[in-house]
Amino acid sequence: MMRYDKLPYSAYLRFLLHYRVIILVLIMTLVAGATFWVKQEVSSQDHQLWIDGSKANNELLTKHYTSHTINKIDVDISHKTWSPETIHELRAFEHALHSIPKVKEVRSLFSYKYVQNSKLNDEQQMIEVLSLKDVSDDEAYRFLKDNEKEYQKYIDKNHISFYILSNGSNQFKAINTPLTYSIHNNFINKYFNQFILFGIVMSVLSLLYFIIFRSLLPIFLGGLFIYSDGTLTIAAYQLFSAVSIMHVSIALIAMTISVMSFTYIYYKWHILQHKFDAQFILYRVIAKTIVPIFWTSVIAVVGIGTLILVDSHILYSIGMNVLLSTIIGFILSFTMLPILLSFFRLKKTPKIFSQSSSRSFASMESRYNKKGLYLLLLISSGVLLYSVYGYFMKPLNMASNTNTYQIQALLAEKGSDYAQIMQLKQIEQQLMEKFDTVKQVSSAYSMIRSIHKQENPAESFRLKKEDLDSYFFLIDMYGLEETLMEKGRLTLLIDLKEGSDKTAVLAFLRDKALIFQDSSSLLDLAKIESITLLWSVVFFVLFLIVAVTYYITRLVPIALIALSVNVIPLIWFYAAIHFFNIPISSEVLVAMIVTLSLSSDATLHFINYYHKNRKKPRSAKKALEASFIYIGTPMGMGNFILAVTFASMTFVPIPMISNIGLYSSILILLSLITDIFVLPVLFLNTIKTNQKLQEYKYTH
Amino acid sequence: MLSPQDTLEELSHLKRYAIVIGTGAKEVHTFIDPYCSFSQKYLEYLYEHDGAMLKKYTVYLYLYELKRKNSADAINAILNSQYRESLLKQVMLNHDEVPPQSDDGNEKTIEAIKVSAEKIGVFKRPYIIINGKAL
Repeated sequence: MMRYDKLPYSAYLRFLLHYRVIILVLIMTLVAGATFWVKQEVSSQDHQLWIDGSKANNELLTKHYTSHTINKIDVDISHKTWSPETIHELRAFEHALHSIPKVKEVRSLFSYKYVQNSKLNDEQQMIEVLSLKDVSDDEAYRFLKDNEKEYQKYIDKNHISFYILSNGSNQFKAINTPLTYSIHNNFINKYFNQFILFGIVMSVLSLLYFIIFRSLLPIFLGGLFIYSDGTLTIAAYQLFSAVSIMHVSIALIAMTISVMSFTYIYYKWHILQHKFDAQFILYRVIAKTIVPIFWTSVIAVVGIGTLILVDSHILYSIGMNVLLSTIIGFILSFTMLPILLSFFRLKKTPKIFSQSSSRSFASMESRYNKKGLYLLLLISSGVLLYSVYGYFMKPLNMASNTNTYQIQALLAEKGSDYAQIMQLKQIEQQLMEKFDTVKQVSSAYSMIRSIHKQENPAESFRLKKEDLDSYFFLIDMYGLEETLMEKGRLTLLIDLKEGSDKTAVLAFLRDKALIFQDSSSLLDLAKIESITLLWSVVFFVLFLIVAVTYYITRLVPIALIALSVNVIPLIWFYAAIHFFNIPISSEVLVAMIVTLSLSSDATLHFINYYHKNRKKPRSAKKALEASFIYIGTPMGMGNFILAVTFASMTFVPIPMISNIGLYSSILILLSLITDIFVLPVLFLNTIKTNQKLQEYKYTH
Repeated sequence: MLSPQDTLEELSHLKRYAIVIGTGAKEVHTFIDPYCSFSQKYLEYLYEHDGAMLKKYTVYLYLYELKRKNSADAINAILNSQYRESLLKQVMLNHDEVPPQSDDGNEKTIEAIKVSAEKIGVFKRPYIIINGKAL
């Protein structure tokens, strides 16, 4: 055995082992302290995280407005006869809605203002703006029968709709009414105990570690390592983060990073058990893993951690978590983990099934079909072009969290002059031309048009500047200002057809100098805003992977290989999203970030190892075989463990978590396939001969 | 029918015969009949919302009789009153009866309103004019 005490990291290892008890006690004390100190549960509701810090919400707050939630309540009248009695019951129902806490306004067929030219004879007539609130049940019944079309927003064959505006999100308790109703709640606070979620995740992880390593040790060490990293991350997050809410999906991203680090280190330690003495094994574990883990940490910290610089709370939260988890994970990986491992020695090393399969796998891949590789790359290029086309040409299909198809906004500029009214007109016209899903646009402009229609039914409407005062006189006289204006700004209410693509309308409206007020629109806008930024993160991380690969290898072809293997799963996934028209949601984005951080991890470990092996006097096949044994196996194992763990989350009864589970497991599997089947073959195809042997030196 | 500019010119001379309510910056001229139900509703709207309308607008009310309403006595009573606005409200909003009154001294006012109304083309009550144009 060679002397290793002069080699890099050996002094560090000696120091670590010398003070191992003190360091371990210190770390465990910190973890125990963090366990008791962490007081807040992670949240499984993300809407407020998305909204806070978003551009649209900041705009609203800067102008001193508050957001409100719009909920739609449908009253079932399919079994009722339409009569004045029904009107009476509906009126009582509306009254009950007003008494719900936090309710600011109820929009219904009773509050809807209609314009009519009231006329006794030619000499006695006046334009009036009325509502059914002011008339008797009999009158309302008769009026509704004659003017059904006017009320299409509130009445369909079987339902009468009420729209409730509340301050903050409202949890509706039972309403005292004989009527049958259903509430379309946008933000359902379905309680799900996070302990159950993390319990499921840890159980699946433990089971898989046991199956793979056939030992209880990785369950104990892995559990302790992941728990320590997780707890310290959450504690550090609560200590340093400007955002107090921590979302459960973000905690899961942090967890995946520690799972991968643990798997690489433990696997390396495990397979060396029968070869060397305990200290040398630990030395090799550190020497072989510290460089790739350091660089993947750099990529995660610089690439994803920089999200802490943005205003959006959700992105800040993701960035902060990844940053803290990566740094803490890196520190623990090379302090706590080697110390823990130093206390153990496996007398009988259970053979890992993948070890022998790695050899045959390497042999199989060394006989790869060149045409097949080029075909795959060609098809992937086609998929990339399709994705690029989809990104720029197809309308954005974002998942909307809403069941209420209304958008409420204010003009950014104060006042009710001709210019502002013309702005409302322009927005309405553009919306009607561009989207056939827009049912109705209500604003001061539409009110003026209704007045004109009643005044001059035969005349086409063209608003003149000099007539504006007259219309505003009527608006003032009928007290319409409170619905058409708020704190000096004109309002705009857009009604969309049920099931229509609200985010497409919002994406169009966000450049129109508007202030959005309803929470669900603010949420959708925050997502639209973030998606561009998250794409930048994806591209930035890809750039970092290429840059780091080039820095490690100084070889352009390897840097390009790194880029290809990371891009391929993402573009296939993105193309599938476009092809099947799957709405892009926060779940999809979280899944993409999880996968990107994992696949960069795998790529760097593999490239680092293979590149070093190619410097040795070995054949390409031999180098590949060794890479498979030492890197491919833990890489596949780690990815497989995470894919199964995420897949198990699809059974969690919260759609967001189950979607993260589904998308992440698909993407991780795609990434795994690319890493196992494409990455080595690209190496064999590109790096034909060993590098100059004189460059080779034994770096252990 | 007069142009908006000429209507404004006409109203600038008629102003002095009006019952003026409100102190707002914007001028509104309205021909009303005290017994016309829409004129009554109109007045009601003007006084609603704690007089918010009257802080924003200055309303010139011209009492102009609708023949079928036989409101000449009421018009005379209001015009004769020292507290025109108050009596106008009593008649139009509270529907108080007013005793028959002579039209002493009011002929000039009634005639001036009538002449201007015909020139402007007032055909209905309430006839609301803003910026010289009827609403």
